[in-house]
Formats: sequence, C-alpha cells, structure tokens
Amino acid sequence: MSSSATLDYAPGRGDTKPTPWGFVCAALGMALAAAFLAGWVPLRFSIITVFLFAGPHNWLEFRYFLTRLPARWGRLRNFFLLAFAGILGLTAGFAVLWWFAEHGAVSEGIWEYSFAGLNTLLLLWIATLVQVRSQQNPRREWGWIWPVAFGLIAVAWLVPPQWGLVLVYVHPLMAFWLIDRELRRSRPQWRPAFHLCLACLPLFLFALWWRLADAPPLPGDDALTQRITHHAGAEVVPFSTHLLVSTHTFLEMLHYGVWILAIPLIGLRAAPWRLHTVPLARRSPAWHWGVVSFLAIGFAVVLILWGCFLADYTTTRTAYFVAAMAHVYAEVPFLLRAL
Amino acid sequence: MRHALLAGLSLLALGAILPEVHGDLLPGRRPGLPPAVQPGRRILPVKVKLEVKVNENAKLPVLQVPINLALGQRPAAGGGAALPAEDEDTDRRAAIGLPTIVAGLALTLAFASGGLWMVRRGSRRSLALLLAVSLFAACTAAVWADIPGPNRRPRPVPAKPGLPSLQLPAGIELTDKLILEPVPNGDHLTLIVPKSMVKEKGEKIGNPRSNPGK
Repeated sequence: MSSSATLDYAPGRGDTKPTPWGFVCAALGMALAAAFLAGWVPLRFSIITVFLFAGPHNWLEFRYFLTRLPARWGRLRNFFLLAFAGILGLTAGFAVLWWFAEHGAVSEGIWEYSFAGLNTLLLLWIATLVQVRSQQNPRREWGWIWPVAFGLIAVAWLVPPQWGLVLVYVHPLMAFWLIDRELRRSRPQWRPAFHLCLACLPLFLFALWWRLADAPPLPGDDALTQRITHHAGAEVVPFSTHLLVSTHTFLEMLHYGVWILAIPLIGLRAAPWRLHTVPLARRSPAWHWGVVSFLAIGFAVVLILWGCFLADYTTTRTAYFVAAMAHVYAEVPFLLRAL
Repeated sequence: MRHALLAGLSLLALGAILPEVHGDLLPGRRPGLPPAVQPGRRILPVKVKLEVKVNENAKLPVLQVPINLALGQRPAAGGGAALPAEDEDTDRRAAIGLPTIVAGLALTLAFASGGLWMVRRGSRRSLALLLAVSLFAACTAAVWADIPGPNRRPRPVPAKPGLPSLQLPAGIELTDKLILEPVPNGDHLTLIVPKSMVKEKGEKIGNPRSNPGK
C-alpha cells in the first residue's frame, strides 16, 4: 500500500481565506488621509513623505524585483538583457542630460530636442520589450503597441515638457497595475474589493480638483518650493500650483503606500529579509551572498539618503529624483513579465 | 478586393495626416508676428539700460520694451540696432523644423503600422475601427488646426490693492498706472514720463513736512 502527497507551493491556497475588508478599510483610510493632507499642506506633506518613504520604497521595490527575477533566464535571456540595458542606458542618458542642463551647458532648444529624443528611445524600448514579451509564453497578441508607440513619439516631440509631466503623473499609477497582478496570483478573492478601491481614486482626485481648481499659487519663492512646484508641472500646464502639487503628492503617497505596505504583504510572501522566496538566492551559495550583499548595500544607501536629506534636503531631493528614474524604467519589464 | 481595400485605407490615412501637417505651420502663431514663447520655456534674464525721457504731452508714463528683450534675446552686437531679419527667420524655421518633421514621421509610421496590424488581424470590426479612427483624425485635424493654445475657462481676476507710488532718481515719481509699449528690437528700455511727474529740486515727494512754509 502506498500513499502519496502533493506539496502545494501555490501561495495563498493553504491559507484560510482572509476577508478583504481590512485591506479595503486600510487602503481607503490611507487614501483619504493622503488626500486631506496633500490638499491642506501640500508642500510640507511632499517634503515629509519624500524624506520618510522615498528610500524605503525603492529598497522594497528592489526586493520585489529580486523575487520576480528568475534564477536562470533561459529563453527570457534576450528580454532581460534588453530590459537591463534599457534601464541603465536611459537612466544614464537622463542623468547626463539633466547635469548638462543644470550647469547651463545646453541651450533651451537643445534640451527640448534631447529630452524628446530620450523619450523616443524610451518608447521604442518599451515597444520592443512588449514585442519580445508577446512572443513568450503565455503568448499575447500585442501588435497594437507599434502604432501606439509611434503616436506617443509624435506627442513627445510636439510637446516635450507636457510629455515629461505625463510620466510624472502616470508613474505612481503603475504600482496599482502591479498589485492587481499580484492579487490575481495570490489572493484573487480580494480583486473585486481592490477594484472598488481603484474606482474611488477618481473621486478623490475630483474632490481635490473641485476644492483647489481656483486656489491661489503656493507661497514661497525659495529653491525648494520652486523645485517641488516645477516637478509637479508649474509653468508647463495652466493650473494652480497648489492643485498640481497636491495632486502629485497625493498620487506619490499612494505609490509609497503600495510599495511599502501592500506589496510586502501580498507580493513578497515572506518578510523582506528572508530570502527563501528569491530564486537568485537559491541558485548557489555564491549567489545567495551576492543577493544578501546587494540588499545590505541598498539598505545602507537608504540610511545615507536620510542623512543627506537632513544635511541638504533640496539638493538631495533633486539628485534623488534624477537617480530614481531607474526604478521608473525598471517597473516596465517587471510589469510586462507579470502580465 | 483586398488590395483595393488596402489602397483605399492608405489614401484615407494619408488624407488624415495631411491636414495635421499643413493645418498650422506655425502652431499658435501667424506669419509676421515674433516667435511665441513655448510653454515651459525659461526666459533668461538680460542686463539692459533704462533711458528716461520727459514728454510734456504725455498723460501717463510709457515703458517701451523692445520685443527681443522681452523674449529674453540679447541685444544685437553694436548696440541699438535691430536684430537682423535673418535671425527671426532662422528662429521661425527652427520652431517648425525638427519637432514637426519627427512628429509627422512618427504619425505616418503610427498610421502605417496601425493599418498593417488591423489588416493582418483581418476582422471586419478592426477595419471598421480603422475607418472610424481615420475619419476622426481627419475631422479633428481640420477643426483644431487653427485654434491657438488650450481652451481655458476665463477666471475672474481678484482685485488687487493699488500699489504705492515709486520714487525714482532725478525726482521722478511713478504711480501704479503705466502703459507698456512693445517696440521693435533694441538694446535698452525707455521710460517716457509726463512732465507733471518730475518734481522740482528741493520738493520732497510724499513728505509734506519737507516744505514747512506752506
């Protein structure tokens, strides 16, 4: 007589099914608090949230990407090579361009052409990744990506500053897509509740815009205030700087909430410092120590970032948002792998 | 039949693109006007001289600002001479140059690749969608071609309190009313003030105790 047992490693299946109402209440409560604070004290809220959460959210995002990176790339080799080449190349290109512009080495016209050119490369990179991904299992019919990419390239050349602003506002929303894929994988019964929360997002934005559409511009002409308002789109779109900074800070806070709270609870399936869910760390002892070292260095960078914020907040914030373009680009291939 | 359909759709797509390209060669501007400042473009500060003239016939002070200085362009070499017409033409050509060409090329590729993708899918629904998108692009391009800038709802401007008088050297007192007059290119600002705003020597402006005899 023999007996057999099947080990079920699928996440969440062995769990007693928790109800999603705690998640819904926490998400909506956080969104409500974020909208209130972003609308009331936008500058202070922006300063504090970036100081507290910018570094940790990047570290947790890096940790999440490690979880989703296969130990051996196999047929995915070209996809990941293209992905990492694009992430590094585009980040370096953006940093160099920004450095030249900051030091007055390029004229306004050259800056706009270069920025549009960089965005063209970004869109072509994304379209190529989508094309490569569509030919891998599970196969997809994503031929529409090329007309869409070329259409967006036209927009990027016609209105470069406005196009840059689109990236600023769309990036926080990408985290919602990733968490939806994670919920589908691990807690599908929570998805309707999550979609209900997403449906409330336009209501929060509408409330902010309704209250702040005619708000006077934010006071203060110091360097930090100017950096924050310009980042949110001042002088690029004809809206109140109060409205712009509030909207951007609100979306950023939701983005931080997803990466610091929701993804660790749902996507990592273990405490961030426990590496048994990281495929690369299981490849060999050397890879294990490599992953540990990378995470330790990342944690040290978070601590250094806090120190730099305390020493010179304005300069650190500016430099951070340039370097942080890497995580904006990195979300694209990992989102594509999750689809 | 299939080739005829492809040719027809290509012509339709071309028809949709042409109005986009030719509809407004200088977006938001008419030929003959100075180049507009693009949204988000930073205007660089320019160091200039201020010349003050007294005009007995003037009723309000007039500040004459050369257009090139208002747009952040440096005065032409030699001082005072207007920028050569070639510079404006070059600037205008640059404004309609590379971005428009690349955008037009990208739109062409978008329509071409979109058409190919839909035809390759082969469903009638896709072709109907392509037809609808092409018609929409053609119509909107024709309608929007010459509308300048974003269509914004006008907002009431809150009333501002009157500014205090500004005392300038040489006994000139400026009120908060000023006529701003754009003038052709130059290298300095000119302030023309009525004679009534020039105070006599010894007369202190805004200080009645300066002349206790009165």
